[in-house]
Amino acid sequence: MPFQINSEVLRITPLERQAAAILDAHRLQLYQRTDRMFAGLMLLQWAAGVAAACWISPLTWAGSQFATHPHVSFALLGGGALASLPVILATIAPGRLLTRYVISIAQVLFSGLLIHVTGGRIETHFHVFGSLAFLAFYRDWRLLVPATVIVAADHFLRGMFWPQSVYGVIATSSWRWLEHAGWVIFEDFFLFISCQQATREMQNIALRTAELEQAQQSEHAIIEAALDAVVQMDLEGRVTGWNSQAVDTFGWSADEAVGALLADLIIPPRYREAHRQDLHRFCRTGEGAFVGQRIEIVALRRDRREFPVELGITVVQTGEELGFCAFVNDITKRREAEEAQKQAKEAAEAANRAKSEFLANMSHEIRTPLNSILGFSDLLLRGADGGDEAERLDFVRTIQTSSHHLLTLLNDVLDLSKIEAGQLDVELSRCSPSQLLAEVVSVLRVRAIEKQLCLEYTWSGAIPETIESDPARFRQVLMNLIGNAVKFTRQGYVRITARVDREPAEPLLVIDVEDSGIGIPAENCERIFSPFEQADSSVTREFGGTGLGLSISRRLVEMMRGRISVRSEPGRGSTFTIAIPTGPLENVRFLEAHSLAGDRGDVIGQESQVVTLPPARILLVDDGQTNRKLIGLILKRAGCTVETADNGRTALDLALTSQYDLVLMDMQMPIMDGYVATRLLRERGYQAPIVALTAHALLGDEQKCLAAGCTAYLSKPIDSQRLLAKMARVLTEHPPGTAAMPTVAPDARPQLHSTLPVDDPDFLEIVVEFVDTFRSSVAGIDEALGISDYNRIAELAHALKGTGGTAGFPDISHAAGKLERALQATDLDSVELLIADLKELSDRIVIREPSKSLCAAADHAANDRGQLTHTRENQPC
Amino acid sequence: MTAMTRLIQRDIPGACGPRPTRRILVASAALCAVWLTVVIGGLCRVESYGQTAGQTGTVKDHWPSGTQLTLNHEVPTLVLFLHPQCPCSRATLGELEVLLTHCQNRVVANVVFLQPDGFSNDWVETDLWHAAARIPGATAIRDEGGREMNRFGARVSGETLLYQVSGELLFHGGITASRGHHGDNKGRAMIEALLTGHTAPTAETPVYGCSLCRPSSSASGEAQCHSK
Repeated sequence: MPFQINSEVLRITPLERQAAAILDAHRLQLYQRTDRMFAGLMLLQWAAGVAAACWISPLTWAGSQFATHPHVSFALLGGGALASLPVILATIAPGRLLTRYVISIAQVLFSGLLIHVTGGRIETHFHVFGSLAFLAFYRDWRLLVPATVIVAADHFLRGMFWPQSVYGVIATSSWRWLEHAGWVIFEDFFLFISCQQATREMQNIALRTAELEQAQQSEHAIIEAALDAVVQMDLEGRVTGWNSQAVDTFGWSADEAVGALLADLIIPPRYREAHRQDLHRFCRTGEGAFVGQRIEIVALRRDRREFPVELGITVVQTGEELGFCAFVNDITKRREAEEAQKQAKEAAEAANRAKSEFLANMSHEIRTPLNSILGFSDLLLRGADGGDEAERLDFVRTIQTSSHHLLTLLNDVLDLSKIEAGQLDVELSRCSPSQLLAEVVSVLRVRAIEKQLCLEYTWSGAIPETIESDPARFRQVLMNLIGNAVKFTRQGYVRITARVDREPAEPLLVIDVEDSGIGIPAENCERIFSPFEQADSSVTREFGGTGLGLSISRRLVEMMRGRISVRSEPGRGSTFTIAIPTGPLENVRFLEAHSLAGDRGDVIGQESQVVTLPPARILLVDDGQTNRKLIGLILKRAGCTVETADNGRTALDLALTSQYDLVLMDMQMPIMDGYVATRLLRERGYQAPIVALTAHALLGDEQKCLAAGCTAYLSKPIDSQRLLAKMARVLTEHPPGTAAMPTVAPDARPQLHSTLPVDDPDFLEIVVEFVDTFRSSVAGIDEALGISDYNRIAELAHALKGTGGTAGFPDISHAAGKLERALQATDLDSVELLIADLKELSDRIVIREPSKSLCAAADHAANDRGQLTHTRENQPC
Repeated sequence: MTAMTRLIQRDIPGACGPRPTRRILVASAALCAVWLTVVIGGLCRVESYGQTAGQTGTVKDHWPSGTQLTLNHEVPTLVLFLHPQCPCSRATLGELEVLLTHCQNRVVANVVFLQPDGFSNDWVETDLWHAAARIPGATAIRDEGGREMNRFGARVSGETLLYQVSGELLFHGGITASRGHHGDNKGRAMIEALLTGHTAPTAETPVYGCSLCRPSSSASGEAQCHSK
């Protein structure tokens, strides 16, 4: 029958299962051991039987002749046969159930044989009792059963047929076999109890062993799973435990480490003597320098590299044995992190100090030109020039110079901020390097002339007609480098050399800016590229500046995937070199240097150029009075006629009613901003060029302006040269007088009427009241937009959505609903446009003239409320 | 009893090795059966040998003349013939001792030891001789050449003859239950009955011991008892 798992087996715990396995192993060992003992006993009994036969009855006689006594043969062969199978099974199958049973039967058969051959001597009966007791060694009471049965059967059968052979008497009671069997069973009873007790003891031992093994396994698992290296050491300093983390940390395997001296493995040589002394002290006094503490020390790996560790040592007592347990944590990464943090902190503190210095410097730099501007402005206002035109001109020039300086300073700060904020991008486009360089040189020519410096540039080799780069940033870098060269050169020259290096995989445009200036000490050559750093403070005092130019230039060059470097010798001059990729040069025409007009210039003695514009009529729209005056003055001086407006609505009206050759539109204005005004103009077919003015210089602003309908884009603050250059370019592309006026008159916009019967005074009153409320709401929306109170806008839009249709103006409900949805979607761009739509609807509202009596009643009602307003667009009732 | 206890009480074959195959089980059963058969057969053979009596001859039913043994005229005379080397006769001597103890002064015993021609006295005077000599009321006698055995007709060691004072044979046979077997037996019981005046149910019992005569090598088959 195959072994079947008892369902109860499934309910035992893993501990019990392990204990059962241990018990089975013990039992198997017991069976095997006892089998071997019985095998020996069988052989001994066999040998003893043969010896006894040989001694007692060796020969049988017939007169004077003799032969081997049959008892000897019986002992040899019969005893051998009786012992054969038990010995064989005990040898080849020890521990088997069959082996035990065969041994049990054979042993009692030996007993029976002994009793028989001794003629039932009572003494030989003790062999039975001894055999049974010996069988109890198996702890298996079942083996006593066949032995007892054989003994009982033997006594029964012999007692029945030949009692002399077992009892030694001729006749005996028929129950005497039972008495003999009873004594055997009596012994069996005690042997059974002994077996059961022994089995229970074995069970308990197995359970305790299983518990101990589990505890050891658990302990081992905990130690192996520990994130720290766990090292155990005895009082002699030898390693007794080494977990897997210790292997990883120190590089020694467990086999190598256990038994070795800990000092030789992981303690640096300079600390070993102290370790040994501390160990001896602990053995003597029970006190250790680091026992029970966490310390940070240096340990040694297998490859002899030292590394920092955090060490905790405890004393462990197992029974009467003392030892140490060390928990070692590799803190190399923590130290590195701490060091990095410390360095970052120092860098942050240094940056903070630099920024503080910068701010202090900036404060001074800003105040200086401001003071100049304010001071000289004040002088002009107070008439300090005394009517002297030349002096007045000087005052103005000073103001202009200071303004330019201040503008440059602010531009630099803004640029650096944008760069650090990641908001400055490079926009690659095809541009002419020769033109860029010429433009920059021409701009700086004035300064060079003033300082009587020789400013010249040359091209070495063929020059590509165009390269792919960011012209604005490239120009900015050149302005900075050449400007610095001019600034820091007291006398001598500034020489620019440009060439194309086609040897690298990607061609480079290399420009060297060499000057005969003050030079830069070698130790400062790298520092000057850091923000807020100059060569030294004396430079700042003598030459001014913020120390941002080179930092910005380096960032810009790196953003263009180029590099910038400097070679300098104090007192002899510096050479700054930039190299930027040119982009693909396939299909690009190369020009020889002599074919470029104005490519070489000794600029001493040349005068600056004056830009003039064609006699165009320009509409200047800007809400800033100062800007209107300044820009207007620049344009007038350039030969244009200028009219102004302070908001988009006025500009819209003027542009649609008057002929202008160009509109210069500020994009951020109250009432109606430039985006809406431009869009509305374009919707009405306005064709004249519109140049946007915006203070924003972010990447998307130009696209936004162009998307609104602008022709060109200028960023504030306005540079007069840039302004005029842009105007010149636009007017060249759109000559004055060529833009046709739109065919749609401004007042031809469809009027908006209420669908309610306004002939009825009651309905008229409702319409008038709504119109007043609507226009107040629109004003409120505009005001809320100015302070970015979108919740207020949403409230007003929601109210209009509900009332517009009721008052007969479904367009208003529709527009207010769109505005509300745009606010919910946080689409702020659409919000402004939708508010402009509401404003336009407000402009187009016309309340049809009812009968006079009705009109008077409506006016009276509106006047009572003080809400009736009139504009150019609204028809009076 | 816990589930674990019940688990342990069962024999889990895996704990003691792989489960034997059916062929091995059949072979093991057959082997055990053969072994038991051989063992039991051997035990039976031993038993059978022990129950096999010696072949006695025709004894004189009257005290023979010419014997040098003396017939006692006051009490019966018991003559016991022994082979001095026969191991089974130790039991016979033991029973003789019990008999003489029970029937003290009621019988005289002569223990006649075979001494074939050419055999020395040392060959005869074994532990049996000395044991016989120590039995009170028994006289150990050497039978040189086996002449007395021939006169009385004894053929098997342990053969016991009891004669009345008149020389009439009262008992002939063995006084052990089987070869070398001490303890109650019919022969001793009969002699004791005769010596105490009771009648015995039978006057002859089997004799378990070695042959006193050499196997015959002549055509007549007659055993020769008195020479080498």
